[in-house]
Amino acid sequence: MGTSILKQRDYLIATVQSDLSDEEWQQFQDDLVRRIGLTRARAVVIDVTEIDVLDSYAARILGTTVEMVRLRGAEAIIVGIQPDVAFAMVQLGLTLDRVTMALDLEDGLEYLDSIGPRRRHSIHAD
Amino acid sequence: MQTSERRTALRSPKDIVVAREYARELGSLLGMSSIGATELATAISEVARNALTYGGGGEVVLSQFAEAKRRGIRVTVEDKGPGIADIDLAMKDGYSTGESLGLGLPGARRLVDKFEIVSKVGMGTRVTMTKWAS
Amino acid sequence: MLDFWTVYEDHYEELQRELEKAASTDPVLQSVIHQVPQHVRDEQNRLSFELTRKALVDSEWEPWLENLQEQGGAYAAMGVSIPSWFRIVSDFRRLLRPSLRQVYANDRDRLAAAIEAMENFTDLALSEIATAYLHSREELIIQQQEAIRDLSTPVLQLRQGLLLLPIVGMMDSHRARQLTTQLLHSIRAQRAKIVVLDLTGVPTVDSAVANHLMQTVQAARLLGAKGIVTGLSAENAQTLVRLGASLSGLNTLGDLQDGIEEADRLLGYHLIRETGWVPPSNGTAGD
Repeated sequence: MGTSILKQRDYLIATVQSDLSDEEWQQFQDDLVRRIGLTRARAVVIDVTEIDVLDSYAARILGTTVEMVRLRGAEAIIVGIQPDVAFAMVQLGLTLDRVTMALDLEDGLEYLDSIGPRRRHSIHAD
Repeated sequence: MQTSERRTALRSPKDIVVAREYARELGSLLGMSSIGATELATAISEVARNALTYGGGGEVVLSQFAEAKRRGIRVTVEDKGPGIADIDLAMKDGYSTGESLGLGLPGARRLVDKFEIVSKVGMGTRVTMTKWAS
Repeated sequence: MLDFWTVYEDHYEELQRELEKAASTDPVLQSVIHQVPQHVRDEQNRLSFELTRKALVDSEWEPWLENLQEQGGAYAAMGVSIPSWFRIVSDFRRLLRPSLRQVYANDRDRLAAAIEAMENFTDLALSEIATAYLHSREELIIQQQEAIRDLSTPVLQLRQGLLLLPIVGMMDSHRARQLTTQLLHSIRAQRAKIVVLDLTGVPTVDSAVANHLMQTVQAARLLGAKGIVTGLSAENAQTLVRLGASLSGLNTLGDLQDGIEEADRLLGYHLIRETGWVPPSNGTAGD
């Protein structure tokens, strides 16, 4: 499939490597939420750098994925949204307000390091 | 000169991805900007998903389109589903008041230059979108 | 038409000479004549003559019309404007009329018809050339506008990680879109974490500006950059709220100076993290 989920230190790096169909997005969400439970990672970085199109379905799934991860006591952030994709998204009103974003994996990890492990067992109230 | 038309049947979500790819391909043939191609692909995604979810599937046709001195891409998404009873309602733009996008059609319209929708209850729906290359 | 043509054909050489003489008194035409080498002009004249024959005698108008369009456009690029063309056409008619009168002296109807044919023909030529000229001017203007747009790069990098975008009113939607995409690409290229959007240059906010502002801030956030709005008067702030723009989560500060100071403070926080110092105790990363 076009996704990969790898453990790196306390984090899961979930990379979407190509444009996914609706079913594949759903599969991705299921996999990720399951892995959080199994690995006890304290945060997930969802990397969409390779994605050319994020439509309303994909945005909704990303939003619910983040919420589901948080309900399991971990944080989730999204990185790598491309400039063109971001512009198309805001024109559609897909702002993902309750999700924290970073430019790329490097910035994302930096951010997660800065918020520290105390977030682990708290429900993120943004 | 390569054929400038692409068609794909819409039977499963994977076909939406194919249609988007075609849009990018045609876009780069025409020298469309990256943002333009992204917007078109996103609009196609919204409309095609509708056709799949509510229209029972159908067909997407992309072609080169020229008018006066402009060139662009014309996309039709057609389904033979139940049709939309109240088109005005479906096209109502809740964007400015922050409502969530139900059918995705008003969103798609914002992303393209020309947008037409024809729908008849019991017969189906056809959406035609045009995006200029420059 | 044929009557007109036969006289034209017979007097062609002489007519060309006279026209060239007349053209030499017009400074623009004179410079064009100098720019285009003799043999090229001769070839062009020969081609025009042939195409004119095809049009008048064989009624094949298309090639002649196309050639006129090309010439109109090409000469427009060299600075030949409508008045110059008008002049050429007037001279043509003035020079050919006596010959027509001479040849058809004994048949007033034929003379009238031939003169009318000449005038229709030259009117058509002039209108084709004028249209081509206008098109080429329009294209030139559009090109220049785009060049100007590309030259002005309003996205400024103030410091590492900090971008400034001055917002102005009266922007068309194409321009607004161009600015936003430019900003987003800059954010990515320069890894900016903060974007200061300065509204000092906007006396009155309207829905177009509000829209542009909101979309820019929201899109920047999707790239991990925080938007700080500065230069917002109390009145404009009220307008924005009334227009439904959501200002929550947006730092809206006094003037540009305040904005930059705030940005420095936020960036300074990040800098502290990089050197391993302990972050502020509330643990929020620059939010």
